[in-house]
Amino acid sequence: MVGYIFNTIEEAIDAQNLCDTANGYPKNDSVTKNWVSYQFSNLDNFYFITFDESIREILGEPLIFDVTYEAFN
Amino acid sequence: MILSTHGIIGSSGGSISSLLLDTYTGSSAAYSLKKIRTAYSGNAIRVRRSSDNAEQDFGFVASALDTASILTFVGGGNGFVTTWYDQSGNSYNQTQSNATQQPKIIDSGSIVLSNSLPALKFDGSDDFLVNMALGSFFAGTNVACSIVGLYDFSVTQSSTPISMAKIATSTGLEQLIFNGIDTSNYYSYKRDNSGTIKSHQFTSIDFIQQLHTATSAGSTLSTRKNGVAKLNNVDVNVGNISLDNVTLGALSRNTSSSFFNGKMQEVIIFKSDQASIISPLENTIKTNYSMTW
Repeated sequence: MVGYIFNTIEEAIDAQNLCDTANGYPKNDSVTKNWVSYQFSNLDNFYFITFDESIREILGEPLIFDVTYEAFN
Repeated sequence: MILSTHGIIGSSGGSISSLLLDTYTGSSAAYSLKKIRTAYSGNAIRVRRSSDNAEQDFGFVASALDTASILTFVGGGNGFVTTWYDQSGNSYNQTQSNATQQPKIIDSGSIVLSNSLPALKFDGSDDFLVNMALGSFFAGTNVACSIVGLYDFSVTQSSTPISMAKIATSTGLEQLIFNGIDTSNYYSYKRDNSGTIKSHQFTSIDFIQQLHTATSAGSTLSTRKNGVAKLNNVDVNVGNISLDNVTLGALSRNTSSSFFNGKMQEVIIFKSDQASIISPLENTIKTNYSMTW
């Protein structure tokens, strides 16, 4: 996984808000509510945002880290 | 010409005077980049353009997606789908409210295509569309279900074009999936609330436009690829399943995963076993999309 790790939900929301503000969100009458979303990794106990080139200048250089997913089949 | 119990079907299997779901009625949800039900008067998709993030709905010209209007709106940039509207009449629209996770319909001023027709491109990294109400419709013990999907897989990675699951449960393990891929096989499985799983698979993955269908009366499942049977009445009886979402392009549990890397043009979901009509339905889609199998 390439992206950004956060220890608390507050840190993840702050990063999400930075990306929203930089891209003009929130907007009225828009299905799109946020520029990026954050997720909680249940098995790793951290929050993360997946990298997108559009947020490099906002959140800085991304990290490479592992996310442990629940078995899928 | 054959006069069937499901309407007038051409000798090649294509519908002559009606759209797909005029003949094959009773779908719970229907997503397509073609108009597939005459009575549906709404839009096909809502698009966000990259130039200024403005959004606009787009419908059909005749029964085809209004690509000319989309291209005019988006210009030379990219166009992303925020909403894929449900044509069944039940309004189970598929949406994505996060910009960077929206599938693409316009790539640098050109329509995304699969077999020369418009398609949505999912990036395999984090793109997906979701409806958070439709899944509960299929929760319970051995609920009948049939799914028709027109996909184009891009690479061998864990890749789920459609899933039914439940977000943020204590186990987070409930799901029902038809014909996703892993690194070497197509797979279908059900898993109950406690993790009991019935999993089945078949080979070999290929990377062209392909039609997958799955029909289930509840405790058994049959799947087909391009009109050929692959899994026949395999056991998927795992008892009660809790579901909330139906997701296109990922598996949505505690942490979304298994992102679909490929293109998608049509997905139709029935809360019933459509095994008796699946072959003529497949042939109609084959004709509609000029498929050659």
